Amino acid sequence: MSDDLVVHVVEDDLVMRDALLLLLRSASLPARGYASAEEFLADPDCGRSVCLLVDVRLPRMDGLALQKHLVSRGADPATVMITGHGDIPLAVAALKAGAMDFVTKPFDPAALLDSVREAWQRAANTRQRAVAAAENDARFQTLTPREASILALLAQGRPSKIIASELEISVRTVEHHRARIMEKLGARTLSQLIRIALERFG
Amino acid sequence: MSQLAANLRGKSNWVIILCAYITVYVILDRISSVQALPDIGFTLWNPPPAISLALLLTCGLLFAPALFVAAVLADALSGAVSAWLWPALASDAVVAAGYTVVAVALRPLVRRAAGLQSVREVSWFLVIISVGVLAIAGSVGAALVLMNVVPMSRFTATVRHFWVGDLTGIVGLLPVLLTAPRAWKRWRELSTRTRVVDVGVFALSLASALWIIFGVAPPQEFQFFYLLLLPVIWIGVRHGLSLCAMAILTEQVTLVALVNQLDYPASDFIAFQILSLAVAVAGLVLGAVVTERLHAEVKLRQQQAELGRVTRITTAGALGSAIVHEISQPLATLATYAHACQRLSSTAPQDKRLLTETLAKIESEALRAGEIVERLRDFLSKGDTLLGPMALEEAARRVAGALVDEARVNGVEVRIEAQSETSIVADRVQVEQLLVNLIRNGIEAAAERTTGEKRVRVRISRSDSEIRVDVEDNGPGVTPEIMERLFEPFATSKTRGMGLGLSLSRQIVESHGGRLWYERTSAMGAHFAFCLPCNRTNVDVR
Repeated sequence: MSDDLVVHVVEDDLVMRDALLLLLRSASLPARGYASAEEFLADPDCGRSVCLLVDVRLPRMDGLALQKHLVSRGADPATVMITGHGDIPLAVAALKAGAMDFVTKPFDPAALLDSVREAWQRAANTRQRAVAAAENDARFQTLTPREASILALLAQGRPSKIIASELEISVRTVEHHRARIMEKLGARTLSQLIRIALERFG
Repeated sequence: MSQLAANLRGKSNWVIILCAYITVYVILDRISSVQALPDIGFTLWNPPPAISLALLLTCGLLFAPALFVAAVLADALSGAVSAWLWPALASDAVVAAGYTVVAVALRPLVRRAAGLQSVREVSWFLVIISVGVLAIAGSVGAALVLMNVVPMSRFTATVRHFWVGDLTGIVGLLPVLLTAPRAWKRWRELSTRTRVVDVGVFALSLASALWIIFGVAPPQEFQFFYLLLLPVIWIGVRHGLSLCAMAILTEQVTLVALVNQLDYPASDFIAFQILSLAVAVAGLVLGAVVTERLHAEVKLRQQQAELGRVTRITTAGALGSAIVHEISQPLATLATYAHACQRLSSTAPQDKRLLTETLAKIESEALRAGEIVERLRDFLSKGDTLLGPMALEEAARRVAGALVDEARVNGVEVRIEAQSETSIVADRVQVEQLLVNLIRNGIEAAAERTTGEKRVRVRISRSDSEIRVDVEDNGPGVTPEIMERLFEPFATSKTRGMGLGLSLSRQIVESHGGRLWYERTSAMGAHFAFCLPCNRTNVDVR
């Protein structure tokens, strides 16, 4: 599901960027490099939940501003910041802005990899949850209006008989609809159906 | 001085102090007896009260009774007491009490260890003594009139005689006693040459003045009297209050001896004493002014030294952080490459080419780190300024030549324009470093331009006293955030830079007595300018 997930490396120092990309690839983490925050924002991928390894010091828009910008756009980036030695206030600001972790230069590459892996895992989870939610959404879309209203009443705990009298249809028709709903939403038992309905309608 | 007083105040010492005081008082009373009034013995030059005041001021007011004892003893030895026992005792009592009050009034002025040195303190000193002695003279005169020793008709003359005699004596001697430790310290600090010259000038001008006044001028002695100001002014201007007080006393003693020897009548003597009082007052105030100035100079020098020390410490701290900051980038890169190599050698051992490439990158990055260390070492060793003649234009061309690769890679054109002859006396290495910083900044800024011609222009122009260098680029200019901290260490917008270039550049310019600033122009790009003085005198050789 997260086959296309990559680590986006935003670092303006050419040599440092090259080294980071090589390190990530050597650890089997797919990675893509950008020289500036603007360059990264031009990538269509940036709107999705991403794994970000970003230098806090960048020309023009810095790492902190990039993080804030992504959060304000509703993205939930899993970010690891690289800060200069002694840039503790900046590191704190980065964490407050929602960054997952930070490493200070000169950093231990193994520790950096651990941090990035964790961020990558979180980005992958976020993306997986997003995909699952999207699939659920698609299934609900297939319900007819009548099926949807029956499901809503089921979620309120009404037995079939009550639903039938409320909707002025026969109990048999309600049972029929229920079977269709279960089939469409992929629920094997009634309790499973109720759980899906509760998740949907709170 | 306070330490001396503390020592003297020791319990076992007070008898010695007392004996010494009385002995000195009596001897001084005998030798200073000039133009003494018949019977009551008031003299026209009376320094012993200065000893009394000095005793009370340095050893404490508890010695006040000694004043009376010493005065009575002096009177007894001079034979005055046998003739007029009660009047002598009464006037001695009034005098002792009066000077005790004067000492109390003077205490705030000399309580501090460095007391009596400002113009304010000297002015108050003179006012208190003049008024105090006048009050004592009036009281003693009144007592003597009441006891029928002095007829009422002689009251004014008696008071005047007493006042002039005591006042000249105190103004002459007391400042010397109060500032003696300082005078000694100042004297020891002087070179033998200064001592010989200044004492020589003083002695010679004093002798000349006295010769003119008493040898050439008579009968118009008073017209030339103010020649006596010159020796005092000389010492006062050169050495301030403490040694000036010595000069005043020397002059006063010489004058009194001479006037006494030449047998002038008492009326002339009083005139001489009043004039010499004026000289003393003028000398003390002048001395105080000079002392204040000397103190201000010393203080200023101390502050400057302190400032320099703080600046050096700050710079050292800044350089320390700069090393950490600048070195951590290549170190992090090195570690990253090395770690990647380890992983690659186990996961993709067949890919020899990638491994070799990465190892080459490690090598070049390590060399770059070495260059940074080298560059910082150059900066750190810039303490040894080596001044020599150099041409700025030539230096700018040399620097532009050294940066030609950097400029070419970035597509930036560096142009040097010199309007006149540009030779100055400066440290060539430092000035070249300064030009490297400014021109490299310009190249890096101009390189950020995406369209049009990228250029850096260096203009060198000369005025009467200084050479001005303008370095302009057509890059994006300085952002307001950076502007505020432009010349502070670490105010950088660059990744590969320690933000030290401009702060060190400014240090270099300032150590040459010049200025470096950011020129605000409406045109696009950054514009830095610095001025260096052409004449050698402004150069601060460290």
